[in-house]
Amino acid sequence: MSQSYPFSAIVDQPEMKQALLIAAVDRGIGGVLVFGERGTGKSTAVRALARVLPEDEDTADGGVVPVVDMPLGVTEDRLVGALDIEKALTSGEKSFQPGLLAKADGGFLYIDEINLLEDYLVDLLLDVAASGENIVEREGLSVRHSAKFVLVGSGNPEEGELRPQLLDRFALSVDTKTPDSIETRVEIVRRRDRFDRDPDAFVEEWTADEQALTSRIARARSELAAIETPDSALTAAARLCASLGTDGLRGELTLIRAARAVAALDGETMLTAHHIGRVAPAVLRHRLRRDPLDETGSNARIERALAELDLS
Amino acid sequence: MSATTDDNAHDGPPPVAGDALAIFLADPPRTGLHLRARHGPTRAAFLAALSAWGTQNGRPIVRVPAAASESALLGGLDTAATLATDRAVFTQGLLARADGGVLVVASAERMTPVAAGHIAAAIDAGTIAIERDGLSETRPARFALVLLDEGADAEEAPPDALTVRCAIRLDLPENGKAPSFDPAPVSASAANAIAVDDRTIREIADLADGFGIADPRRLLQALAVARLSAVRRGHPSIEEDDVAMAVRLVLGPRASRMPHSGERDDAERPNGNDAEDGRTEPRTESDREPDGASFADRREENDAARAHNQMSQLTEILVEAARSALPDALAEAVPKLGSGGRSHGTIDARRKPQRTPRHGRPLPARQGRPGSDARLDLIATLRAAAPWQTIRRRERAKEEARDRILVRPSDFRVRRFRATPRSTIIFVVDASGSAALERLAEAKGAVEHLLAGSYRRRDRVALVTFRGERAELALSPTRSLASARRMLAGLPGGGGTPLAAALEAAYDLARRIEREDETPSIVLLTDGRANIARDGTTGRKRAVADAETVARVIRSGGITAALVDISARPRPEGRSIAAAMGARYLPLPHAGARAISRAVETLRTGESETA
Repeated sequence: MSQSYPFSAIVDQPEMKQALLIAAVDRGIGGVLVFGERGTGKSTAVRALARVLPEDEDTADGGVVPVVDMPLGVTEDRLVGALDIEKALTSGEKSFQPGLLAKADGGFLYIDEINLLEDYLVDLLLDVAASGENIVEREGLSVRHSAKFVLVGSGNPEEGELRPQLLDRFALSVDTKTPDSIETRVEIVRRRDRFDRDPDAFVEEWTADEQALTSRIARARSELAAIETPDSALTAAARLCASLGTDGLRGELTLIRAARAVAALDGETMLTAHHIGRVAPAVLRHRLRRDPLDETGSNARIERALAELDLS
Repeated sequence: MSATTDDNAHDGPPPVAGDALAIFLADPPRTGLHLRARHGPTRAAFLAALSAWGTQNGRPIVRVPAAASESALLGGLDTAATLATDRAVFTQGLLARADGGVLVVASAERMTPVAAGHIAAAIDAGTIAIERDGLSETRPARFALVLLDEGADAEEAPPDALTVRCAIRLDLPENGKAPSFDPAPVSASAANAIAVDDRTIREIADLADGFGIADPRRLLQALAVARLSAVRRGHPSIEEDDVAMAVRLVLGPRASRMPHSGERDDAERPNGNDAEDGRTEPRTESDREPDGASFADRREENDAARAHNQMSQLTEILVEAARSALPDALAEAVPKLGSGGRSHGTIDARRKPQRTPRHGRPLPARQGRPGSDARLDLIATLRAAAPWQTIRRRERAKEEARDRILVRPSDFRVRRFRATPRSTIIFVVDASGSAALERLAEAKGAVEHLLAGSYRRRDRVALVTFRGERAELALSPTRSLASARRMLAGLPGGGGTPLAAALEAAYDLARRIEREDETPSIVLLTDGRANIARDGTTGRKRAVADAETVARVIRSGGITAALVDISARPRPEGRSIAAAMGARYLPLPHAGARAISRAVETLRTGESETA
């Protein structure tokens, strides 16, 4: 297998990296959606994440956390699993052939161009991701197996948006943009060029950073449960959601959860309003009642609310 | 090799096509080539050189039709072989077959986003992951991509997913002497060895920024091409004419703006003829520019847009006002023209007969007989038959061969799809002086309001605007409302009313949408006061006659349409154009909310309105 680009070497895009790390620390949080123009490193980042995830005894595959790439043309039976046709043909035996959802159990399922996927498949994926269980009832088979995974979707908004009903089922949503500064672009090109020409040497150079990141994630995971959540932080989250008028409790709960993961990544023991402020855009951006024609509205509204509540 | 190229470079037009091919075919080929050319001797010579290279080097050159199905691209179950043996046999797809060679996409401008997605994924990974028909495996698929783009205009282009992965963009002239190609490929490993200092990267990034290109991927492509060019010319490191080559092949053709003229004398720019070429090329090759519009035009438009932005706050207020004035029912009703309301009526009789959907959202396979309108779902059939094999064999052990699958008619399963009716609404917005003076802002508000409705139904929208002497496609069919809004906000007003040209543009677009198997409908916002004829001449009488002629063509094409009259006091012109077009006639709110709801009601029920 060819080398993949190191996560630590990704230039810029702090929000995207933060969102992926939050999901790596707290895998129960729900999906991550990365929307942005082409060439902003969406796919690179998700594929790179696989290399920095700490090993996990719970997963089947010798502790390696699976990051499953879902091909675009996937059929439903390959996704959820189906009758093992080979076995049925050769030995007349009815047995279940697990699909991609089973493969992704305990890890990440990555879907590029999620906005091109048929809506019903996105629905199905979100249902399984939320319940952590895949139930197959077809062709006389009745199988249920664990399918706990973090759904990571990416797409290019110029090619069509995701249905609004699906949007708020993702825990975090980040927008990526082509970097404005030429210095940043030069840095991207310089690193990528060195990686393309000699991947092994480049990856070697970043090994220390990658290992440090892996242990940071592992430490955050083990500290996560111990993080104190004072009432002041809860109040800050509630006031923020109230001032933005988000529907339901889901946003508020995700806000707390994501903020705790960030605190754990920082190696802190107490959740503060500052952490809430840092994750608020990613958690709330896609939950605001929005005018579909208003492109910049969500970000500006969140920033304003954060400033008003003194959270930024 | 370098000597001949250098000689040619200094007299007459440089053989860009030859350079492009040599650089593209670096060994191993890694870059993509977007070739915009019609059928003709030039293109044929180019492709002949490509296939000669393939034969000489034993590399596969695999041609992919634009309509290639997923199973053709990825591979799928081989029906005959599967039935002959008792194992599932798979055929190799086109992508895997192109491994180590070149994948040539014919008529790339017609390729579907899904097929493009597969090709793009294969390019990124160097492999294809197959998860279909009960098969799960990964195969190598490293290939270079050639897009043969025969798009009629700049709007008809291959999917972005493919064009962004092509480093080189080349426009071959339709007529003209077939150039001689020197496909002596450049060694990629030699290119790899060429060190690049930060100054060069910075120079490329600055140049790209001047051209309005920010995507780091394009910068990397430019760098790669510059490197290969250095090898081709025998330079030890990237020199200025190598950067110029990158501009010619990568950056220039994608320029969305020209560098400021002040930067022209900058010492870091490539000098001499090459730089000049880099500047002039985008005139004809720019990606997004509608045909015939030169850069001078565009700059004027930019200035106009800037001036317009200063007024935008006022416009915002007007748009808001219009939005609240527009009855919700209208917003809901207009798109019904496209899908819901065409079950009866005169127009519908001319529509294509409804077929059993052959694509769309797949439904579970159903028991049934395969035939012309139902395709056999082989896997489902085998699955249905599978559990019975042991039993059936026991029953028939004597008379039948034991190594065959015993399939009974009751096992047959056929594929079913639920067709998602996709519709595209073409908004044709009158931005002429007569309309602009009165109600352009309100028309914009109305369009935005209707857009919000189509967003909810996931329709695509397109925008044709007309003013002055011509109509232009301001926005190709898209689901992105953000871009529609952007286009609309920057829409300047004033000038004549070339209604005929606008209707013609809308009609052409509608036919194109029909070819893509979607249902177009046209929503025309105008005051109906045409005063520019089809040939661009002024004169109310001919202009009106021309507009009515085109309107009748639209009617006979069976395209559903609505005309929203945006004049303050609706006059007969609007109504008669609507009648000629077979369109619903909807005067904007001033006519009274009750009239609108009545019109809306007739739309809902599908009764034809007597205009």
